[in-house]
Amino acid sequence: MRSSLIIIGFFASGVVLGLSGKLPNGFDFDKFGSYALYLLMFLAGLSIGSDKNSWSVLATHNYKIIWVPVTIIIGTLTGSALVSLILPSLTMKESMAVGAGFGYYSLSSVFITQLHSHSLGVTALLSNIFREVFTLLATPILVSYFGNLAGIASGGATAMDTTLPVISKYSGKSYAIIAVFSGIVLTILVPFLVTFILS
Amino acid sequence: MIVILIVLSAGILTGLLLIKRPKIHRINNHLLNWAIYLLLFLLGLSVGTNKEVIQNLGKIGYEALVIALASIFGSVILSGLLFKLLFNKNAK
Repeated sequence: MRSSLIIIGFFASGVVLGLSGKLPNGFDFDKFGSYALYLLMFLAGLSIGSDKNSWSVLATHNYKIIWVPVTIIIGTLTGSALVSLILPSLTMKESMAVGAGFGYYSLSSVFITQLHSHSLGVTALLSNIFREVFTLLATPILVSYFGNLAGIASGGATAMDTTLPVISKYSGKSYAIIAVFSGIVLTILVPFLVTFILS
Repeated sequence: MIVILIVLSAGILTGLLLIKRPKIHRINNHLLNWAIYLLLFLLGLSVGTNKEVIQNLGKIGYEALVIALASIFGSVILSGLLFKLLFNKNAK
């Protein structure tokens, strides 16, 4: 929660400064933004590659566990594709790209902003923050209705960090390992899936 | 877009080469956080100067909420099926 507040803080101060109209003329943040994005992607890759945990968890050969992120991907993309039918101003692709953030709002919103548009970037930011907050609040109820994987599914990419405590509490410690595995797989896939969907 | 995926893969490979240096991993995670803060600040700036987005903020918020709920319920319902099929038997 603390990190979401920091992130909202940076975003909000940008909005306020933008609204104030006190920006120097001719500052091209789109161009600057795409260089910043390359830097971000490189650093994100570095952090995945240099983390021993991401490889040791991926090396787990229990075939059942791989179905968890696969199910979450299929469920998320199906849900976000279907719901685009009641959202007239969004295409199916746009809605799926927002869904494919799996709660990883910081990276997915920045990504969608650069690849598509500012307004869809804001949609992705808000939508994926909602996913994290909803998971924190609703995991106890979801687990009692849909079983022990429900919190992991709802949390998506956040199941490896911010929503892990609540998942571990209501689904049990043995599910915490599955949560971390699923969260890591989804986190790694976010940039690939978003790019693929929007291309 | 291909450039982005190449940059990402280059990062992963570089990370693999540096896997035995936990210090670099820690420093990198700080840098990563600040890169994200910077980009979100920039997103905020472009939103603040973009009248179209500001005027539609209510609509964007509504759409964001609807997509979030649809994504969550799609995956939660499927995960319920998976749980019954594969996980429940050996749970106890």
